[in-house]
Amino acid sequence: MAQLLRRIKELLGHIPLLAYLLGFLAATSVEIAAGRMFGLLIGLGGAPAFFGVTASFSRLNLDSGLVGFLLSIPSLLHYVVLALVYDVVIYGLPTLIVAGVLAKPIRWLVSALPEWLTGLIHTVTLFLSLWIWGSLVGYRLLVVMYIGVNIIMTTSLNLINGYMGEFSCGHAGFMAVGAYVSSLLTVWLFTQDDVFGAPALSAGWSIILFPLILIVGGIAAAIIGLLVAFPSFKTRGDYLAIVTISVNFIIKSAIENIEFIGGPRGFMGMKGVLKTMASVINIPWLLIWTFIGVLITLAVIYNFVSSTKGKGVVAIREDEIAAELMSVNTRHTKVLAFTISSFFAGVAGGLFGHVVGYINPSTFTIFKSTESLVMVYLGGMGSLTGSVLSASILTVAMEALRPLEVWKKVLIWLMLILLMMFRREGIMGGKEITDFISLERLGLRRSAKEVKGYAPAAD
Amino acid sequence: MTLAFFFQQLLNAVQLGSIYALIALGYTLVYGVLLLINFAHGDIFMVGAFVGYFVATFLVGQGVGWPWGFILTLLFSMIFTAMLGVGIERVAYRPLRTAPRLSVVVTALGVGLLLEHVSLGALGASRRNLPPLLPETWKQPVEISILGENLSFTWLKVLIIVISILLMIILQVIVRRTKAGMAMRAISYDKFAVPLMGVPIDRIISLTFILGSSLAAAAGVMYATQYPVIEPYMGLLVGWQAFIAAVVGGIGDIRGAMVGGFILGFVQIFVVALGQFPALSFLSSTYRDLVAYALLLIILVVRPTGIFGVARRQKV
Repeated sequence: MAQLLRRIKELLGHIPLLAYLLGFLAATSVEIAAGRMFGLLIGLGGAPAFFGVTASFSRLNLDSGLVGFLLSIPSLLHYVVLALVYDVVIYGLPTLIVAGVLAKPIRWLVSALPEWLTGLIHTVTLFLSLWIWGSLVGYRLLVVMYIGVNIIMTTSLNLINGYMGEFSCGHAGFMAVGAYVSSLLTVWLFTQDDVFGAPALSAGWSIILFPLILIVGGIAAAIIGLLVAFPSFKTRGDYLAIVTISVNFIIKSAIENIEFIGGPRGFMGMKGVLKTMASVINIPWLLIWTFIGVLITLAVIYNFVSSTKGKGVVAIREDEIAAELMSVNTRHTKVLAFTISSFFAGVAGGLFGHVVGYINPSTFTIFKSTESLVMVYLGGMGSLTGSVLSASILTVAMEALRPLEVWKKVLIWLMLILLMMFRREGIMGGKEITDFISLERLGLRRSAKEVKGYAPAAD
Repeated sequence: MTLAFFFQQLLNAVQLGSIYALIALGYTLVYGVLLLINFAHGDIFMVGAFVGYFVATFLVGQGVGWPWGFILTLLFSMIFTAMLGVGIERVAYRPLRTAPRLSVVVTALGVGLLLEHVSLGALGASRRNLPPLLPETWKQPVEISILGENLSFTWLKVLIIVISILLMIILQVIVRRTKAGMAMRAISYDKFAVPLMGVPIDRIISLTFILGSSLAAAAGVMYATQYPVIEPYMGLLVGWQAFIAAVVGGIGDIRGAMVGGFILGFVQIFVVALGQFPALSFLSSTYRDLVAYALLLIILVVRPTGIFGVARRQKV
């Protein structure tokens, strides 16, 4: 048995990532062709929206007391089994078959192509599979974009809380700034709106300016982020937590007091922006920019923490005074880290505003900030892949638990407490996925012997 | 500003400040002993108000009125909430006593949010009113004439101020005059040496949570008699203000919590009061929280240890 498992592991581990991605694309086309039929056949009533994960909890009966709840559990299990069958037949088998067939050619391809090109191919394939898979059900795209926004939030918060070891608890405040600034700009520039009147620019500009506006939102958030960076020179730990929380409250309260942008009623009109963009070229712009946003965030933060300056960030976490003595300019490093972090929170906010289409100051409370905290700690402090993983898992989990309403939040906070008690280091424990599976094995990098003219250094 | 108006606002400020001070004391006591910001404390205040609501509803239903109804409500709420506070410390904070401080702070935050959403799930978001425990006339303004000015006040406000000050005196006596209080002060002075002197540190920490939580419960009941809003988010709204008060006064210092509470009460009441003058009409009541948080930020930047706090030197 153990032999068999090891054999399977070896076989699966030998398949490069790209083959899996192409396999998933193939599975998506299987779903397009037969998903609905198969879903009806096994009694799911059509293709499940999100692998059957998000719909399963709605089987629970929450309205008629404990007995009704307990009686509805078998129907939940029944649904889960059916969804599993669906997932295996429609996604699992086609993915594995195609990946197995393509494994060899792709290994060869990866060793033949330059690394930047393989990287590009991976990225494009990933995007295509998300897009095609997502377009089948509108809800999927929404969840995928939520995941993207949360990944940006989590990784940027991880820079402060994980790598730098400070305790920032007001990340949603920066998100709010980014969301409001970019949403106001896009609505003013590109749509007919009650507040701003006719669009200020022609529709064609929207495509070019949209990413720039997201950046402007990020910059606005970064400027507010400086507000937090300066008190952090003097205060650490608990006190910094207070500062960040009060910044979060202040931002929310300030937005509520500005009548012009809707005050506590919130601000909307971002759906119109998306329509304007789609009217020029009809592709899912928001998905594209969320995807690119995630990639850029990951790249920037990964490169930052790997740089000399970024090593200073980790040094501050380990011992601030020792870091100062070892010629780390702690003030400069802190300002930089806070600015980068709040910048990306602002970008995430801008994307969030356009994904949801409606923003409201009470969205960006300490609850939102703490949600991001949970994601950081679940994934593991100082692990980017951990953040990506936990942001994805928790976002889907929150969608799945939606029928539980308030109790969904209870479960999340309970998880945070249990996490702190039993596994403080999170899923990844400060490690990256590449510490377990090498890039060569994933087929993202040519192995040393395949690189021409490479000679291992003599010890 | 007429004298009568000033006097009225002063009374409002002292009353709000004394409620803030009571809650702030809970933050400060725990911080003094455990060096932990108990983010769940605001929600303990909320639970106190809810327990008070249920006890009061029961008692009024049984026909128990003033004064026993009020006293029993206060007592029951304080006892139950003290048990909750001790329970939270046992279950959530004690296992983490040797863990990095950040984890405990995160846990505290999580416990607070958990309390909030459990009560939201179990009790719903609707606002509740405390049933009438006091004679209705206590809420009516009473006018007295001093120095030719008609000053008006309500007995309820006076009652809240008197009870708060009484509780603060009791706390002072416990902390200053009893052995347990001495142990508490000693632990906040040196956490490592004191257990070696035979002080039962766990029991003292439990006592700290009992004191802090029961003060919060008293504040909750009194807040609910004055303002008719008992809802799951009141811990977030009022508790955080009290927390600011604790930080402004210097968290960890008992005098600081009291002074901070009154300062915050004054600032908030007078921001709203000044807004009633035409020249300052831009100061609407929605600026109340904004001003409070701005005050907090200024204090933290200028003097992070608060008014009474002493900076802890970090040894290299």
